[in-house]
Amino acid sequence: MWCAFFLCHRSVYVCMNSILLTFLKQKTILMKMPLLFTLPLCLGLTFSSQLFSGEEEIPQYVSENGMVDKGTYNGYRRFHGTCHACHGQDAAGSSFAPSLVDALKDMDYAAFTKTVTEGRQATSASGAVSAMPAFAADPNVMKHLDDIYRYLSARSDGVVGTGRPKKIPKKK
Amino acid sequence: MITAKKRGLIAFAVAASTLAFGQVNANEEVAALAADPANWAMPTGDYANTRYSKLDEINAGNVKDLKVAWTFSTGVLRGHEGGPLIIGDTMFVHTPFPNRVYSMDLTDEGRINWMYEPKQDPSVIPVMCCDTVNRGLSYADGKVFLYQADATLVALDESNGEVVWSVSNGDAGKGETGTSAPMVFKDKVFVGISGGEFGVQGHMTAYNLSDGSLAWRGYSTGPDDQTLMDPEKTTHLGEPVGVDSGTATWEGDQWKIGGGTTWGWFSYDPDLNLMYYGTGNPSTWNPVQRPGDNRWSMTIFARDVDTGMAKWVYQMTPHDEWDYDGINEMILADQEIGGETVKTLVHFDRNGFGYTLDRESGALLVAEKFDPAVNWATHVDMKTGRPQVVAEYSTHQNGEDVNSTNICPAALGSKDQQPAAYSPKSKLFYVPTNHVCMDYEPFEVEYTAGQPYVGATLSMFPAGRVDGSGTDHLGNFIAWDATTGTIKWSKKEAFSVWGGALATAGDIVFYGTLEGYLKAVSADTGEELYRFKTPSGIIGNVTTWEHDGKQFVGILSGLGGWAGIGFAAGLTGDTDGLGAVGAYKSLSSYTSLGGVLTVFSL
Repeated sequence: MWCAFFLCHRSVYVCMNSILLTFLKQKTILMKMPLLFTLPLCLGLTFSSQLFSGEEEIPQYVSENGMVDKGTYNGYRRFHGTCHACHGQDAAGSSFAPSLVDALKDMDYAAFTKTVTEGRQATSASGAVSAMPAFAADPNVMKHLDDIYRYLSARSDGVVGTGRPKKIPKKK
Repeated sequence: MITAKKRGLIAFAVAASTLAFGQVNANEEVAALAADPANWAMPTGDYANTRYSKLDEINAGNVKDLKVAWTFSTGVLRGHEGGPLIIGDTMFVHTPFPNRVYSMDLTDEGRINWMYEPKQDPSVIPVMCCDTVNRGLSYADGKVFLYQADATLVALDESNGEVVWSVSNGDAGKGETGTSAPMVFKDKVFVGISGGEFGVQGHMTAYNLSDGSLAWRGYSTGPDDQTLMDPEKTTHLGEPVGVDSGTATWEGDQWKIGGGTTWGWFSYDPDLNLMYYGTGNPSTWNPVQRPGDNRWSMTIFARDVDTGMAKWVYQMTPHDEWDYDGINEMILADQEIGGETVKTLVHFDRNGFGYTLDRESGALLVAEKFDPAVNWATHVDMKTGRPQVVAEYSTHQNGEDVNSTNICPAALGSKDQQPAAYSPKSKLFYVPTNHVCMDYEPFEVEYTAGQPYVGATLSMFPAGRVDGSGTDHLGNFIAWDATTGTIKWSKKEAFSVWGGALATAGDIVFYGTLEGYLKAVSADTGEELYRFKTPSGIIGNVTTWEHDGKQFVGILSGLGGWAGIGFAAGLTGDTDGLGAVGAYKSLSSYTSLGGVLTVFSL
């Protein structure tokens, strides 16, 4: 996960540099834009570049000393606001829906988003029908889909245990 | 086929002369059938919901010799709540989704007369909040009533299982589903609605037995013409409720998606012509998004059976902040209080308080904690009826995006739908309870029809981690004196007791456990007298009947329900970083899924 952390930092760094360079070239007053301004701008650009890039960026969790990033933490909350009703506390599964700690080991991000968005139905050998609803119309899930994925992949990788994870404190 | 009818009529002749209950007003056939202890003719045993049987062949002295007589697999794996109906020579067994109904011949160890399975869109499965449970069938007038998952109420011909009539009581596309057992009072069949986690506007609905036509519908929230309330005559603790009380304590139109669902048990007093039930949580679980008392969610209703008009209401948990649904059963018992016999209503609420009310006037007589772990409120103010909320455990006062910790009980309550029993012999109530606490964090959610509308995240753990005892059991089975609000005895259970109790004239009480044990205990002391491990975890209710002069006891196994969600992988505490701290008890190491009826006799 350090690599993800590093990648993010790296892209922000590259972005900030490129903005500063652009400003320098154009010799506008903006070249004096304080670092403080460019940082959030770059974070925004990095985020949107992920949205608009042709290939899908896979959301990554960040873990430091057993603590997790804000997104993963939010994923924990949102998972336990909706998904846990079937998939159980800590995504450990229930008497009628599978453990996602196990499922995420074999399911990639694309398959995850497809399943959550479109839902799916299955009939077991015993004839029992199980059904996962389509959440495409549910903003409480769709707006937080990547965070839920972050949380579940962290659970699946054994990086986040049971219960509420701790958030990495804000850096000063 | 139903020799029960003959039997019922004979019983009625006896019953009419000995019982004040079930007079000309009541549906005579059903009242007579239920009065004969050989039958178990309604899901609750009797109108009063006592779940008490006068049979005493099996008793405290010989229950240790109980043996399995026969068993039956329902062929369905999901959580099996409720219990079978027994009428004469016939037994009717229901299942969770796909909601099969079996008619079985008791003269031939349960050989199947007929089986009915409705065709339902499987998309209803995931809009049921807590497994696809169903709590049972009702019988009257040659018809068996099934309330399907998709909120369709059907009347089946008891002789062949053919549909006599069918009516839709809700739209599963909006999250309106059916889980509760229908009840027959007089010439009507009553059904509630589930979907408190989907922003449903809860209601109680009465259909005419003969053809399924709508008799009346009373909503839990809304203007007076929807709640069927009279601003002057309908009272709350003796005071008139006022105009449009079902919208007055809501902000804007939130009441339209305000919950107050009605998925529990219903009771009936033929003398007062009133039916009783409770309403569930206000939607959403985020209290900050719905300021006000949110009337009449979390409320005990007393309604006129014929017209639906509310006579009185009592809101137990105004402005719920913890998901303490008020839907648990209302047990009607005539008890001595202060030297007088009072027509009482006794209710063990999810919020952890055991209430005793005067069921005629709606006056509050007793409100005490039936689990000492309860900490969200110090007590109930007996004048205003309001619980005195402890600020530390107020998820509203702590606010959105704040995790309120160590709240007792957890959202599944000190007791959930698993019904208690009352023995007029011992004058005690026998209550299956949960001993679980929680952390609760509300956050903002948006409403979309048919999508979950929850708005909180919570985690649950044994109450022993909060009360300082360090114990890790998750349930208790208790005996309760409702005249004083005191626990007479309490038996620890490893898991929440999610199955319904049965008390008998044999001075014993039966209940089932999540590991799968059917247990019999002494009604006086709680001492365990018998246990048998059935094929799966028990969330069903124990029933008893007599056939050919012999007493039988029956229980549905089949792990699932909310218990099956929370416990499938064990309950864990909050964690310090990685790794679980505290109890980790996996139910899956005790039992597995599978619907089976086990029948016992001596």
